[in-house]
Amino acid sequence: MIALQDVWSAVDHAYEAIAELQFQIADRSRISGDVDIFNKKQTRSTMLLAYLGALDELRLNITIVENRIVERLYNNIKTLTKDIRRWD
Amino acid sequence: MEIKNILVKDSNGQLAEDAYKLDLSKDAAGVYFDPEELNTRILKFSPNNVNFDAVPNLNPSSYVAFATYNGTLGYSNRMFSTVVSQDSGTFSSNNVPILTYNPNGVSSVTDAATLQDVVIEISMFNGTIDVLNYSEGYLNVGNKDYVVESRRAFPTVVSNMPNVEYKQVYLDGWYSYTFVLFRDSVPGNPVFKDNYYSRGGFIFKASVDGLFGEDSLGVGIHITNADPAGTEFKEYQVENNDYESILFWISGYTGETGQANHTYLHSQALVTDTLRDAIVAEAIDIACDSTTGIEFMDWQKLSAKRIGAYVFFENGIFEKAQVIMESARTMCLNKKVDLARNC
Repeated sequence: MIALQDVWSAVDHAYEAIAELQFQIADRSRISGDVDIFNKKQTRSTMLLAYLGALDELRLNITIVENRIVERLYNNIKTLTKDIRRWD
Repeated sequence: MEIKNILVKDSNGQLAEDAYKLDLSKDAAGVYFDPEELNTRILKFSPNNVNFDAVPNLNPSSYVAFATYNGTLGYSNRMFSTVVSQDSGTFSSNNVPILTYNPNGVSSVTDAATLQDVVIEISMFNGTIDVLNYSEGYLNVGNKDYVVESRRAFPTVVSNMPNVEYKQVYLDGWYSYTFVLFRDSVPGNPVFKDNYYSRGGFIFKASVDGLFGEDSLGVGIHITNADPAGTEFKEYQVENNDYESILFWISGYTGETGQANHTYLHSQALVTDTLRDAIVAEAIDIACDSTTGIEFMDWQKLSAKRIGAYVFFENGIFEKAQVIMESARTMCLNKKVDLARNC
């Protein structure tokens, strides 16, 4: 069972992770600015972006079904950002 | 999360404090596009949220304002600032100065090939020392010439400025806005060497310790000896409002109150206009032409870059935001929203 604060925390972590991944991409591809869409960092950014978009549309504690989906999104973001090691 | 086209963040200076703000929810400085120019993007910088009537003893005073573009030229561990707009003069709270910067009005006067190279060393992340050729040239903005430090980045990009590559001048990126108010000195005031003072819009860096003086009102500004028993001298002062020097000088006075000899505002802005245009243009292109959706790749990349830059800027890590903005440049080229297209 997750609380609203967990969702906020996931959103913050996801945004920070996207920023850090994009910085790492930019740092290595400054001249062209481009990487392959299947680049691991780019793929992870896109997935986080998609989860954030979905979280934005869902509300916690309205229905059980929605709660489950939010929890799933939360877990996916957590999995993708765990290497940042800021989760408590 | 609302992503804005221009982000502004005050970073230093007494004028950025809440005590002097008109609207507490906003930053003290305002950066915006000229509302009267619909077809071109002209940036305006103004301390328009500062309540100057709340700042004591501003009559008479002088101001100097700078807008600089900060870029890396490919070196993420080093930032290069170029003054893109500056102004100084007598300050009036009824007529707050507004700086204007039109990237389309900027052209490089000096040919990159004729620039005089000076070698500077840069420490790289891996501990090695890299060498960057650095040159000086001129930029022409309307009728005014600016001396800029122009650099040639290794290995392939030839740049006259951090925001210029060949003939392309980039609007997007990290800007710094500095606005300094000097309370005018009057004859007899003590002045101290290497500090900045003003009189009627004339800003100078004192060459010696002594007493402030002028031959007639605002003319022949000089410093005389303060000690009646000492050797007499009279040193005329030259106007000096060099950006780098003023910036380093004011940064040593962070703790001073708004009552001091000078007071200032230092603000940062991130412009993502071209990037925003490219993202929208990409979506329109896909909506109008695509049947495969493969083109969404660029949309995804640009959107992620924009969010990345936004997050770093909002957290005050301006350098990293700029690095991401620079990486988006090539992908934004020639991508403009065409509302007249037949879709």
